[in-house]
Amino acid sequence: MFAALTAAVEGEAPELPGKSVCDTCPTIREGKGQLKALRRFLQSPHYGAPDEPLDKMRCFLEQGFLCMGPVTRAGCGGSQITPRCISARVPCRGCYGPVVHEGNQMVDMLNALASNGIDVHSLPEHVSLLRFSGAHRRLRPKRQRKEA
Amino acid sequence: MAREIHIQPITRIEGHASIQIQLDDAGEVRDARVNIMSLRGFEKFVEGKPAEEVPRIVSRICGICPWMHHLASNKAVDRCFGVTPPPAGQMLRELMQTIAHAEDKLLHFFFLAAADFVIGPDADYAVRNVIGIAKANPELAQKVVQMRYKAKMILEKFAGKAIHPVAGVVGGFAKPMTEADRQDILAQMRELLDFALFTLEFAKEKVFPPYLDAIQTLGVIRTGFMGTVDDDGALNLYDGKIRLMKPDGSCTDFDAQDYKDYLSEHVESHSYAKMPYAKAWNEGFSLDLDDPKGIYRVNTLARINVADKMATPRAQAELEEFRERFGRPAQATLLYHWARLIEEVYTCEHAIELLEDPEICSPQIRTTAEPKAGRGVGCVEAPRGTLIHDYSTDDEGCITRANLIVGTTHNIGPINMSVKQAAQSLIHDGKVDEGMLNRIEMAVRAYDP
Repeated sequence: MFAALTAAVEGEAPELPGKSVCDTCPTIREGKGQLKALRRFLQSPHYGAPDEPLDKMRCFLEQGFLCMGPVTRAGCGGSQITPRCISARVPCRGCYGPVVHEGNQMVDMLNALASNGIDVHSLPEHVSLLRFSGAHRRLRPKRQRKEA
Repeated sequence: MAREIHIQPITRIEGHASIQIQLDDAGEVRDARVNIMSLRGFEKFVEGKPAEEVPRIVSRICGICPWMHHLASNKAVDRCFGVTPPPAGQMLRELMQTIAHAEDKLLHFFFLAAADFVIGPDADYAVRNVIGIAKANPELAQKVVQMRYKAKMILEKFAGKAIHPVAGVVGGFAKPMTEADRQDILAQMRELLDFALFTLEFAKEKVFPPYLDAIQTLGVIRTGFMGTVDDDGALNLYDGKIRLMKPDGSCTDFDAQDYKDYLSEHVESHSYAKMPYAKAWNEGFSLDLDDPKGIYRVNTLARINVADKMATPRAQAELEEFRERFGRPAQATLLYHWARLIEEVYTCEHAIELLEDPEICSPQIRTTAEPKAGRGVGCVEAPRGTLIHDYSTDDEGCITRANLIVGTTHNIGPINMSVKQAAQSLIHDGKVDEGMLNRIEMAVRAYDP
């Protein structure tokens, strides 16, 4: 934040980290698994004792929970700090915006899931994946359905 | 000459609003009202979303009290899916809410309200603010900032985010508390309790006494009150029955699930905010100052009025002293500030109570839920009043309909009345000065909208 303000005062664009939330996430990733579908966040993820550090917990996505970490820019916890939601053992929903410039978090996330063999229809809905970005030039009045 | 006076924006409040005062040909106040022109739309855009996602969407409604929306929403989703969080899950939710309350009251009293009393209602607006206070009493200002920071950082350190929280989840809480966390937070809450007690003494000795006359007159109206109480009739912020008190002090208790049998919403063309009123009194809706109909108030003074007692000893002693001086129900609008500081003591004491119970460290913090069709009303006491989230879900567990009644909304009608009362008693013969207009704003600030 301080760096961003300094840059603004000096009239320069702030330098944002080019990393994703996953790049700064301490949870364990074991690589592509056998996962075919996602489940909703209606139960606790697996982890050990309450004081077990996060680097002993398996990645939310690998546990089958939707996490927007792969398509979201890192930095929410500050530099070298665990992403905030992850530190509460809750998956990321993307509030820091797309990791690639002008990226679309919904499309990027669906692509990432599909290319890993995960059925995107296992999500109850996908519109809210675009909760914190992607509204540019997309706001328009809702189309009225024609009366039959 | 008839004319109109605008106060725009009203400063040192958490939301956005303006005041419109109409003077007649004789320069007397014909009418006065508060316009609220912000539209949020959350009720609409949560439709179709999986219900378990909603608690982390609605937390964005308010940056000042996101925990309240987050938890009311979680309670509503629990109901829709028919799950009950385990005791430790409830305790952690309640602890977070209680600490958020403690922080919020310090924010309002010192940063928003105190300047009117400490610097004075007639002082130049350039110094009548928190910076003015910091210059007048740098030691106290430093302490206030430290204490508020401490409370916010407890939330952030434990729950990941203090603003826009995510740690409340359907069926309970997402993160268990360790013994080390418990001891650490307990020590900090004891410091906050000391500061809460100091603040109330300071206010009673130094802040309120010169204004006791103003307290008895400025913005005073006669209304009913509403707040939440537990089974023993003690004030409760997280859960319990809603108690609706008539202006004469008689009470009706009801379950939050049945709120629609007791409350209804009135719409005025000059404001986007609806005005809830007590349908159960069968007298309709009127903001007439001499004979209001269906009007009740919420927020600190209301909670203190409807509660038979406070559940913690120091807050109870303060409540007894308050009642002895001002009676029950106390109607003077500026007493909201006093009631707020009594609640501040309660929140610190109650957080300590929750933390002293080792059960809060249980790893059983979440019950697994299944999506299903249902309806649920989630209700908590937000700093600004009774907060109601009412959701319906379809078979997939997605939201089909949402109705939210946010704390301040209940107070919109009464705020309009207090502003009119203040304007009518202060402005005569068309003579208006800045001190008068600020006093009218003070009638709004008491409600902390």
